Amino acid sequence: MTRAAGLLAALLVLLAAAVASVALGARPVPLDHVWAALTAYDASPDAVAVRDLRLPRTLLGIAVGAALGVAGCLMQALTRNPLAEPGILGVNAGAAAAVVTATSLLGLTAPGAYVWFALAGAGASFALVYLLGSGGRAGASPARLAVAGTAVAAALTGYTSAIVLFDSSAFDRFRFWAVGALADRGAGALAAIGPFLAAGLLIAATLGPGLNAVALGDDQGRALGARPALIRGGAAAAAVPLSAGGTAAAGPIGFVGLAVPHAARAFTGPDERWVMAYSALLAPALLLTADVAGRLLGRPGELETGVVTALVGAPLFIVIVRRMRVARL
Amino acid sequence: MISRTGRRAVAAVAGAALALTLAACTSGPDDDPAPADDASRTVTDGKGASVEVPADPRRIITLSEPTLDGALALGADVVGTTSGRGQGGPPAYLADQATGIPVVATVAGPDIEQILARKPDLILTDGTVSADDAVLGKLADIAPTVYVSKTAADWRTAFTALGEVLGRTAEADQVLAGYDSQVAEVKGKLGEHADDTVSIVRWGSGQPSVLLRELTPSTIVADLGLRRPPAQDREGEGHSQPVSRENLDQLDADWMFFGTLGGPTNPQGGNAGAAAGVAASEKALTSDAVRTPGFTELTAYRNDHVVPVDGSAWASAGGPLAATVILQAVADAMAEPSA
Amino acid sequence: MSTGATTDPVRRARPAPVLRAGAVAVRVAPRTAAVALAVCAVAAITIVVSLAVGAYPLSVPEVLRTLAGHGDRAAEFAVYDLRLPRVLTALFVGAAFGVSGAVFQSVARNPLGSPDIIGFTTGSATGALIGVLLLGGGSAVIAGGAVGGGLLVAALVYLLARQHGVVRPHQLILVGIGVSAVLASVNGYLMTRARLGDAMQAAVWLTGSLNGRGWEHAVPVGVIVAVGVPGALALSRPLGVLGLGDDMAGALGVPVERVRRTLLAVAVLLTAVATASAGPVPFVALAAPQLARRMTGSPDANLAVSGLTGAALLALADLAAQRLFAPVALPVGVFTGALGGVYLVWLLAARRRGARW
Repeated sequence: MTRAAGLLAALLVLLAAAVASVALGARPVPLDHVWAALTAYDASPDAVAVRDLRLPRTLLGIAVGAALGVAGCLMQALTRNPLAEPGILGVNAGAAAAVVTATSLLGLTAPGAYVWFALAGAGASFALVYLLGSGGRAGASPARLAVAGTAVAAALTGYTSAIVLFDSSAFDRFRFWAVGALADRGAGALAAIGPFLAAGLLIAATLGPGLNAVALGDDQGRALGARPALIRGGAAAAAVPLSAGGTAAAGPIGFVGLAVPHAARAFTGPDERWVMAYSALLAPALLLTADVAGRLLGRPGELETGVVTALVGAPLFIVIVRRMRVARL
Repeated sequence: MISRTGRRAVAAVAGAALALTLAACTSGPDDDPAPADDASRTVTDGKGASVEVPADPRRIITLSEPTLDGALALGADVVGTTSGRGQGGPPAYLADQATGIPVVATVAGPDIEQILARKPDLILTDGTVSADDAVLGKLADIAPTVYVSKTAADWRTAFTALGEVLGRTAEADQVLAGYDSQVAEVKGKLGEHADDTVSIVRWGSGQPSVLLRELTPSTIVADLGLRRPPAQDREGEGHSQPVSRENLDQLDADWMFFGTLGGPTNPQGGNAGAAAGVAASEKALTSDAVRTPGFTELTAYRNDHVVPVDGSAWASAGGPLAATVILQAVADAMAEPSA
Repeated sequence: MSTGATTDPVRRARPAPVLRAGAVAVRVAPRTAAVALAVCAVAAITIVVSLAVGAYPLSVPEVLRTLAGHGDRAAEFAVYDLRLPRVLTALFVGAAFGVSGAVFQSVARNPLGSPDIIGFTTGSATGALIGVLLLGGGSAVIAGGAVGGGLLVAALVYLLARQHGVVRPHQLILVGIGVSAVLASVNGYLMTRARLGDAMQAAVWLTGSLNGRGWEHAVPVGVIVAVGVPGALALSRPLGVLGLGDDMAGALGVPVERVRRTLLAVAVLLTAVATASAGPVPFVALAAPQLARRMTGSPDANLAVSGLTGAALLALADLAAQRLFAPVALPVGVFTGALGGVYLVWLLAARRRGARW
């Protein structure tokens, strides 16, 4: 019952963050103009800022946040490793390598053009990591997955660095992509990743009970009637589109997927169904809050979302970690 | 830096730990690898240090864009240079003049052995490249290495200092006089646009940014007597100032010079600069900027006064050749057709 | 997760010769000794090749003449002032990273353990970035910033993770993640706000580079390695016991917290000096202990073999980074990442069956 109340509270926090995200920004727009922009659009700079920039950006923030939060839960359950996050399983490195290839070697410069590359790169490198990490009869061993992820990420990062260090324009684009941002990604990015996120969230929604069983260890899971290999395959099948889609649209916003599930677990206990539900609401709330803060702090420019996410989230996360009584990893 | 004898002693000690036989051979003749030229002068560099340089340097290495620009403007013999800000070769606007000059330094730093192999008699750098002072110490062992000027110095002062280092002060004065007369000429052709406002935009990928007053392209526009829009008429922090797309109207003015350091470049060299320049800016304008909500509402865009320019010159720290490119772009866009 | 830190009773039961050097006694398995010798041989060959090749054209006879003290000035400069100190710096830095990585992996009981875990690498990156971008500093400022930032952050993480006088490994990891995330975002911010040239310079430093490294780098890191590595070796016996778990180790009479603190301090010191000399070269600290464990077939991260492996790995990587794409010389960090990553990928692919990670 308290967990359900908490979930409702999380939903309210997310709604508040979404309203703030539409109302506040680098450009001071009076509240009545905000309302007018949504109801009676007139192509004034204020109206453009609210309807054409902030609204799609807020929707993208909710989608990316939910995707990263749930992907983080899945990856931590999949690898049973507290370090697990899209970065560890090679997603960020794969997306980065693909983006750099697209911008530097193929000359695609508009963010909308390289979303597809990022998606493909992230998906491919995750698939490679999963394949390498899940050798033989035993299926995907958590530790092997983590090592495989690090290995693939290291190799890809070397490639990325080699390209950008010798191409200033690619480096220039890359450094902005690499901090992660919701600005300037627009409705195109959301349309591109939307189907992947929807698919991933649907699969994830069915996995809760299985993940709980597997969390106890493969043998105990089997004793409870779960099929660990199937569950893990499903978790990977959901985590790939979620993390790849989120990273493709917004860049590597690493901390959200890492920290929110841990924070959620502190409220819910180890039940993966609740952890995922909480994460799906709290992660976009964190992301939007950070995004709004970045717009206000960075005036007349903006602080990139990825920069603020950690500044907002990490102190909170450290407090939670310090309060955790025992390791529930 | 440890003295040469000191290095030898250190070499002997450190080497003994791992490779005794190698270290045993470190006592050789005690002198520098690059012989001092017969005729030499002493100049004071941008950090205030005195450096002895050849009276008439013949083999010059330039490790920064402004020193390359200036050395080429003075007709000096450059035998090695840097690959721009990380591009495969010299900046696009210098591509013609710098043809055939080998690249001996990337943004990853100077390649010391390649520089040694070029047998330079003078090495030039400045505050626009933040080279490791350990590396600069090594270079100074190869040939006199002069830190010509700090980043903040305006391009004329930096160029004058460069002229002194190269022993070509008369030629430098001549080049600057040429710039002044070109300014006067362009100014005379502006006609009814002489009092217009000019926005200088760098279209990066993260967000657009504007060049505030202290940057070289801004000073050149100011030399022409042109004004800046209110949002850009202030001092910045020495680099372009990002602007949120929500505040796109800060980019607006009577004219907008629109540059980007875009386009694919080939990391292995070759015609790397070719894709940059005006074409890259045109592409960024048509494929990205006009799709930004609100951009097409800007006055400059509606009046067809958005001018794609060569970002490699318009974002450079500058030199006489960059200044000429900038003046020419302004003249091409704004001068009265009849004049 | 406790991978590789558990002991293998079969292997343990096999008697091994004991190597004594004064107060330090190390049990040496024959295979470990053989691996150590082989790695040393690789390092020695790397030194010789590194002296002989480079962008400045020198034939092998010329190099030999120079080594004998009869080279011309340019050749002598290339060999003694450029190549020798550079390869020595690579070896020392690699050894420091290798040993500290092994310590971190054992203490954190995680195969991903590395100085990154306690935020050292991001902290030193922040320090160095502030040195490059805000103070406009030279190499001394950057190195100082890196070491200062790294130590400050490591201390901060340790203190934040400490509760009731005890630091649990998983809390250390999680707090390290949190603090690292903050700093990584600060680093990203600094990178996007700097002038492009400065940002790229900083990016090169963050990649890890040995370009222009001379005696002034080789000597300090060499001295610290000479002091720190034996220190870590002396502590490596309780380290093995710590792998059993805090309670078991405590029952065996090991002052768990003190040993862990001392070891971490030594590892942080090694990382600090190595980072100051070459930047946060990626993957060496992570890969060297893993490779060492694979080669020796021992479940423990053998500190000495890890250090030797790190040294050989970095020297070899630097040689390859300089020469493989000549005339373009890559920063070594580009190569250690790619090389180590590809090797681990290959290892995983080749030994999918029966590998225990």
